[in-house]
Amino acid sequence: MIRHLESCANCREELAQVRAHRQQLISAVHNDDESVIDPMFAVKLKAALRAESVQGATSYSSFIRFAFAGGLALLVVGISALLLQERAPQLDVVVNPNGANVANSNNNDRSKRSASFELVRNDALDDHRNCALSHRLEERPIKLAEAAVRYDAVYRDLEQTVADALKSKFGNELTLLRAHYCLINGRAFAHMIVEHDKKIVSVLMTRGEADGNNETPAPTDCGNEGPLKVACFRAERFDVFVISELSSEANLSVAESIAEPVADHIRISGQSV
Amino acid sequence: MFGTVKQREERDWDSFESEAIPHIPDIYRIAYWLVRDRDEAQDLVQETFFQAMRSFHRYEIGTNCRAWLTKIMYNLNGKRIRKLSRFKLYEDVDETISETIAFEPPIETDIKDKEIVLALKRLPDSFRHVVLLADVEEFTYREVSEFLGIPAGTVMSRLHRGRQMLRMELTKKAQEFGIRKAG
Repeated sequence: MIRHLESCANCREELAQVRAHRQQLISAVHNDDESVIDPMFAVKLKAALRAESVQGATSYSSFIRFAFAGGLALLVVGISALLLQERAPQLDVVVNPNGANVANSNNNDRSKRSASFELVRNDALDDHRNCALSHRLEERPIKLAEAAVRYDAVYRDLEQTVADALKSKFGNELTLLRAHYCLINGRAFAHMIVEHDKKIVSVLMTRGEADGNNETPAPTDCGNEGPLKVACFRAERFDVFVISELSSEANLSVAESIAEPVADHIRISGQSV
Repeated sequence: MFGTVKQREERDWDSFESEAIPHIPDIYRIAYWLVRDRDEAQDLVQETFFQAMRSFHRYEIGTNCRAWLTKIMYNLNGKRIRKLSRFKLYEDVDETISETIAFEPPIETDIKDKEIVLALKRLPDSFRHVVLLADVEEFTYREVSEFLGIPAGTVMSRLHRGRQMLRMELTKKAQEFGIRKAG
């Protein structure tokens, strides 16, 4: 076939047309709004699967204990006792059945980060790398205004709030490049991309767990990941991350400048419950 | 030696999370084109991933997880259809179409994405599924054959005809918009 293609211009042209047609088709289908997944559905599905994974494993453990009991009574009793000791603390693990991002940490002290918060932090880092830096998201982001209509009024004019807060503190040193609502690893973020000192800064906001605490703790340094610095804070029901290759102090300073305005924005939008 | 139960659970979830979860958007897209309704597509995707999680021990890590998930989804959809349908599903009469499609015009580059999507939606089901799975989702003929439960040869012939029909639709659309003069 390859030899034929080398000698037949008509067939080469036909093949080129088929390939071009295919690319057009792929692009059209991937850009079709109807076939793009609802980010909130994806988030809830992932959380529900995680919850099922925990509950299902608990049942599985019970089955294993019963399965062994018939044949090796004494040994099973000993193993069961050990398994029960290990499992008992897990039964108190709280998994959010509503499908929001799972966070079971003490939200008043981000320095004692839970495994769940680490997952959120890692997703924020992935979003910074794959969206802000390399534009490699699998799903096309949507505008914050559209997210405000579809999901939560809190996203309306959020970028303006952030831009005004940054301008107030930094003047023209920071420039808001773009803002959108994007999906990474099944988690949705409101994502504002800022340029400062020729470096890209991401401000990422995602839903967290309600903890009844309406205060906004001061932003904290949430660690480095290679050259990337992470600052974070809780604003009402949302976790906010500021990620960049600025110095830790500068990165934290960006977070500090936006913390109160963002919290006020959320409260005013009526989504503080 | 085997780790605690909690450690095994975490590994199982970690594996599932890294292998299967990233394919949620793709599987949704395929589901939407299969059932043509967003709510139904969400139900189907949810059912697919829960089934996948229960069957994850049967999946070989590092192999084509997207194809594995798609197969589960098509099986579930097939069961749903069989359950709902009281009537025998006859093979699509489009199989007898059309040796008469002789002219294969090139696709106009000015045709917008929206028109391409509409043309794809207008294809008969049996052709649309094959074009979607093979051309858009880039599964192999063998994988498409397994999903749809039809021979690989039928996949190839439907794909060929589906592409022809798509081109005809888009040429008609181009003529309507005056992009191309009517022959």
